[in-house]
Formats: sequence, structure tokens, C-alpha cells
Amino acid sequence: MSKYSGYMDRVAKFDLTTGKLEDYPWSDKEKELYLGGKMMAAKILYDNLTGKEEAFSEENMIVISTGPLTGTGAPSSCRFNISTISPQTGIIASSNCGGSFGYYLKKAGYDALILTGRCPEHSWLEIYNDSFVLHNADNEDIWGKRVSESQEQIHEILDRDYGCRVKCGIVTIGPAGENLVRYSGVFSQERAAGRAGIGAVFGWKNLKAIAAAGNHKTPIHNPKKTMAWNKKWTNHLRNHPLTGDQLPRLGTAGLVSGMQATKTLATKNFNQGTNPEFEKVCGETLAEDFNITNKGCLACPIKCTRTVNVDGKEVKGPELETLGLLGGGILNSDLQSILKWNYELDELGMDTISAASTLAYAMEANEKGLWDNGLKFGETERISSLWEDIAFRRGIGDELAEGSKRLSEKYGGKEFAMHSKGLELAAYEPRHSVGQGLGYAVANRGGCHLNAGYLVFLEALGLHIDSQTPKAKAELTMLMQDLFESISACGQCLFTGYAVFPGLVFTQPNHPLTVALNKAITKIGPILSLVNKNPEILFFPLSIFHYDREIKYAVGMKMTLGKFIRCGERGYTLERYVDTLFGITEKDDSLPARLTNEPEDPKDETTKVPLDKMKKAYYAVRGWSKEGVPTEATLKKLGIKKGQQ
Amino acid sequence: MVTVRVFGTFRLISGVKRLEIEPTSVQELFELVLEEAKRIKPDSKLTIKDVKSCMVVVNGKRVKSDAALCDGDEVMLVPASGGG
Amino acid sequence: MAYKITDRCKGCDDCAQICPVMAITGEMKEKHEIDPNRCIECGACSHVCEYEGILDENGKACKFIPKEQWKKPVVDTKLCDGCGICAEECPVYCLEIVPNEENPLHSISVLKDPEVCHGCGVCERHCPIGAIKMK
Repeated sequence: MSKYSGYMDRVAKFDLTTGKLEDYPWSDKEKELYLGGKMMAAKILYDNLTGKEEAFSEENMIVISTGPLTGTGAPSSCRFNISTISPQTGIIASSNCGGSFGYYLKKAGYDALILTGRCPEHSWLEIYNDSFVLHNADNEDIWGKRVSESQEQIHEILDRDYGCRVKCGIVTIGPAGENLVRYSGVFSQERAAGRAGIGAVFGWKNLKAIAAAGNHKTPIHNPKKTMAWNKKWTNHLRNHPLTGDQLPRLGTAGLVSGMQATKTLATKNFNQGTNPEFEKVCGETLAEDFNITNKGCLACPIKCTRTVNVDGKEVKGPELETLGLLGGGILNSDLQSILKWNYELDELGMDTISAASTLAYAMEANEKGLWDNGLKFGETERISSLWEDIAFRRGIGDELAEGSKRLSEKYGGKEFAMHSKGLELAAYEPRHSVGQGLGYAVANRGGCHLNAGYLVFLEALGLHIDSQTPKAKAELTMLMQDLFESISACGQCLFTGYAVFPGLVFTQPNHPLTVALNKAITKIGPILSLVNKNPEILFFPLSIFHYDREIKYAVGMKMTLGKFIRCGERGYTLERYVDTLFGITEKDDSLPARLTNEPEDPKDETTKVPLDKMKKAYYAVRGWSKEGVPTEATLKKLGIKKGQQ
Repeated sequence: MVTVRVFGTFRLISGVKRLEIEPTSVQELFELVLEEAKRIKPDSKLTIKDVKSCMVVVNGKRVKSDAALCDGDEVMLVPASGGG
Repeated sequence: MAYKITDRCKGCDDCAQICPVMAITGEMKEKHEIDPNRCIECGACSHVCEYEGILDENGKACKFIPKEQWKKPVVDTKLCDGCGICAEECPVYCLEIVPNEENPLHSISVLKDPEVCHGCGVCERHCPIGAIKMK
């Protein structure tokens, strides 16, 4: 039995080919080293893969993992992670999702679920405690269904079979995943593990959906103290200007105007960082004219989800990425169309970021005469039917389903195919936020804004540190990535991380403290480097940092800020190391030439990403070789070992 | 004449979206924006501190709160925001 | 550990009727059984057993409570943040998360269906911040 609460102390390994179920060992030592979620998944993939596995192969495995705080009631803690080898990037795809599946996977009695092999026929998997049943998805008419229909149908089947309403968590793919669209996602309720094509891996494995239910309870180490701490933390989140006001009021869509103001709003396929028409497609307009109410994931007090009306139905509204990339990204200023497309993409089961970015690439390739596809910036009539063509791989949709990397290899225009390692960049234009540019290039899963360390938040949107200097960006990127890694591994939403910054730095941009902080950060690279190298020096509790004591009270694990950062470093480094086994080198840590060679503002040479310089510094602070591979010494320092620990 | 566009939580709370005023400095602009907010919602509890929570961007460049303004300037007031 | 039915059971079937997850089975006038694989330990069955023949998860005999005395959840509207766990956990779906009238940016939980409520207290036990009290 585990000495730690929070965990169910059980990991299930299920072979889709044979239907064989076994327990997968996961020791207390590994719990301490890797917490859970994304980091746990990286360790499991490291122990089981060799570096030769293809995304679409029986040897590829899917790891769905929760964190120790998932299901404990800690604020914003319902999240789960899915990791597998990505059909977009060929390396680890990790995608984090809200929804309710993680909560119910723990009710079924598991911290994680490892899926190997391939279902012999179109199937969906029912999990109830110890019982794993593969159902035929054709007979039950689930294969081919859209995301919400698929979930409704499964609920109906379970309710019928169990003779009562069954409370369960479902993940499902849509038609896009079935048809192996390289950027298809996996969905739980209205939330998506959208990025890096995990849906296509499900589709290839003939696995349409998983429903998890059961009657287990997540054990809590010290219920009384946990409750008191939850109360305190929730109160803090509610009173914080970002988590208690901006996010519930505007959602992530609220970032558009800040991005416009700081020229970080990718427009016309990253040709420029501002959109003259942005006000028609910004979060304020969404809030004033379209938003019905704000909702949120289970267990979350932040409630950042928008709900909007599409064809008389109340559905989830767009996030910033969708708003930016399907708005200014393709020169579209009709917000209603974005609401509709966002819903359509969710229902078909695709990542809106990659779909929008691939479309923008196609428009530019057409404009430049490289690919005669009839798609033009600003012309939106054709797009409404295009999403279905992509999901079902019809006509030009079949080509678009391959994503911008593969299309640019076929048609040319690599300099404006806006991806890194095959994963399309998010909506932040990095030439006015060069640290974000570094992050996009080095991020483990490819061009992801969060895995990147999200420096655009420090450089433009939240704080205002010097956005053009390469100074201290490597150190900051590492620190933020490691923090995010651990927050996510706990099972918590990264948005709780905003509340680690005192509210004052956001509400009083001209306060001497804020001004000093903004000035100082880029000058204290060596201090940040010291923290990165020896996070243990941060052993004292900080009133604004809540994670350490939540883990202590709910899980019973000793935790400090420093240890938390070190855990994140371990997970991040391990994931990187696995990626290098799959062939990733320094050359792959790249950005499209548009971002590194062409200044966004032709009159200002600093408005491009000085990637090579920052990359070198980044490898050095991370303890990676010049080729971008974690060194033996670094792996040893972090205690990373293959096999059971 | 200076055109001011207001965004973020401050816009939703104050109701001020866009206005044309004639301030000579950012400080003066803050006061005029607050005046407008009070005109739109007389019982709002907004103070000058709330206006000052916004980053000030003049003609596409971020400026400090002691900056001067000229005729024809285009100003954006944008509070800090987070997301992802 | 699931709830258990003792030999005091007379097979009246009241417990099986109220069990929200169909965990209780048995012929009329014969001793009923609780499936530990199904039981969610809500305790609804224990309230309705006139013969007090049900043990809770700790093995303690439960008291019969007449319906008019069933407690109902009372939500502390100042404290509740509408995280939704209570509504998700409620076995009979009688709680709902709605915008807080005092501050529409935030949500709260409300008892939308007091008639349906079993007074089982699952919501109170799961609330992570102690904002629900059964009264």
C-alpha cells in the first residue's frame, strides 16, 4: 500500500488487441519523483518505448494519467493528461484536458490508464472498477458520430445496461480522429485534449471512446487541513485580478486586445503582429454581444469558459487561440462565424489551433502561387463546409488534414508554415515577445505556447519586462516550464499559476514595485540561473504559493517550492530525453524563417527572434549538450533512470 | 483631439468603450476617462486607481503614466490579462 | 467499504426502491443484498429502513428517519464558489450550479429539486470547502 494519499495507488495496463488487463507497477519513489499527469506519462513512455515506434503502430501506447490532486477537491484540479507518440511530430504528444474524465478515472480506481495494441474492430471501452469491456462501436452506432452525439449515445447505453443514470467520465474522438486527421483531438464533455493529434492515434487504434465509472474515493491525507487550505486558496483565486475577475469576465478571449496593444497578435498567418480589425473579434465584443454566461470545468472556481449561442443551441465559446487564428489569422472579422466554426471543429473533433494555422498556410501558399487551392485571406464563404471536408478527408480537405508541415514539404513555403517540430504555433506572434519565440522553438511537444513557458505573459500581457532582449529569457523559460510542468502534473489547471503573482503587479502597472520588477527581471539572469540550478534554496513557504501545502495536506508528501520546481525540471528533461531518442536534435528546435529572419516592424531590427543565441543559453542552463540532448550528468542529477524506481 | 479606446475588465465594468477627448497628458486622460465612466454609470464605485490599472498604449507604443499627449494621438487603455 | 444489510431485513424493498445506483437487490419478503461494487455509500437506503437493518461503511447501524425529518443541504452563498463537485456527486441530480445573483461572475450551487433530495448528505461530504451543511 502506498504511503501517500491522493493517489488510487493503481495503474491499469490494458491491451486493446487481446483485451488483457494487468496492473502496472508505480512505486512511491516514482510518485515522489514524477508526481503524476504529464511527467508520470513521460516516465511510462520512457520505460516502454525504444525511440523507433511510429504514431500509427501497435507498438505506440496511449497513457492517460491524472494527478494526485485530481479528485481531491483542490481548486481547478479535475484535469487529466494524455500522452502518446504524435502523428504530427513523431515525438511525445502530451495534451492536458479539463472535462470530467480524470475525476471519474480515479473513481474507477486508477491513477492512470495505459493502452497498448490496437482494437481488432471499431470499439469503445467501458471501465467500471475492475471491469474493462470493449464494445463494438459499429453495432452500437457510435463510430462515425460527432463528439457530443458520441457522448450522449454512450450515456444512453450505460444507463440502459445499468438500469439507472450512470455517472461517468467519457473521452471520445470525433470523425476527424476516425479519419486520422493529423491534428484531431480527444474530447471530454466540451473540453479538449486538442493538441498534437492524439485523436488520430485513438482512431488508428480503432478506439472511439472510453467511459470510466466506479465507486472509489480519492483518499485525502488530512481532510480537515485540506479543507481549510482549499478554502484559503479558493478565496485567493477569487480575489485575484486575473483568476477572480478577468478570466471569469472575459475568458482567455480577453487576451486579444492586450496582444493587439503589444503587437503579439498573429495576423494574416504571422505576417504581422497587429490586426486593424481586431475590435470586431476581441474578447470584449464576445463578452458584450455574444456571451450568455461563464462556465467552468468540474472543481474549478475560475470559470473561464464562454457559452454562446450557435444556431439556437447554447455551446462553448471560442478560446483566445481560436479567436486569434480564425479571426485576424485569416483576415476574418466576423465573430459569429468564429463561434460557429469553433463549435463545428469541436464537434468534428479537431484542434482549432492547427486547423486554423494550416488553413492560413494554405491561403498564403495560394497567394504566393505555390498551391492553387482557391483559398484566399479574408474570403470566408468556402470555409464553413471546409471543416467537414477535412474531417472526412474529402477533396482539398484530405490535403489540409495533413497539417502545415507536411503541406509545406510538398508545396514549398517552409518559411511561412507556422509550426515547430510539426506542431502549429498558437496565436501569439513572438517577434514582439522573443522569449515566447524561444519557448515555441524548444518546447517538448512542438510549437505550443504553454509547454513553451508562456513568456509572452511576462513580456507583454501580464507583466512588461523587456520583450526584445534575449537576456535572461533562457533562464526564465526554464523556470516557467518547470513550474508549469509540476502544476500540470498535480492535476491542476495552469491558470491557478497566475495567482502566484501578487495582484498588485497587474492592477498597478505604474506602482514603483511593478516598475522595478519589470526592469529587474531581465537583469537577474544569473540569480535565476542559480535558482534553476539549486531550486532547493527555495525551501521556505511563500504565502502566495499554495501548491506545496496542498500536496502536504492532501497527499501527505513533503513539498517545498524548490522541490516542486525540481520535480518539474525532472519531468521536462525526461520528456525531452525521450524526444531525443526519437531523433530530435538541436536542428528541430526551430522556428519558421519568417520569425527569425524578417523583422515584424521593418524599421526595427530587434523585432525578430534571436533564436540561436537564446537557444545556446537555454541548453546551457538546462544542462543539455550543444546538440540539445540532456547530458548524462543532468540525468543523473535529476535521478532519472530507466525501469522501476 | 485624442481618440481613446478602452478594453479589458475596465471596459466591461465602466461601460466606456471609445471616446474623443482633448487631454495634454496621460494623467489628464485618466481623469477624463473616469469622468466619462461616472457619466455613464453615476453610481459606479470606480476610482482613478481603476483607470490607472490599464497599460497605456499611444500610437502603438507603450508609454509611462507621466507622458504627454498630442492632437491626433490614438490611445489604447488595456489592463493586464492572463489566459493560455 | 460499502453499506451492508443485516438479518433484521424483512425484505420490504424500500431500500432497493430508493437506492440511486441500483446496488440493492432481493426478492420481496426475503433478505436483500447490497452489491459492494455498486454501492456509493450515499446512505439513502439507511434512512428508509424501518427495521434499522442497514450498517454504514464503518459497520455502524443506521437509524430510520421519517421522510419529513430528512435534512436538506443549505449552501453558504458567501463561501460557495460553484465548483460543481456537489452537483456532480449528487446521486439524484437535485443540485444545480447557477450564476451567483450577488456576483454574476461567480457561480453557486442551489438545491433546485428539494422534493427529489434524499437528504443523503453526499454533497456535504464532498464539498471541498465546507460550504454545504445538512440542516
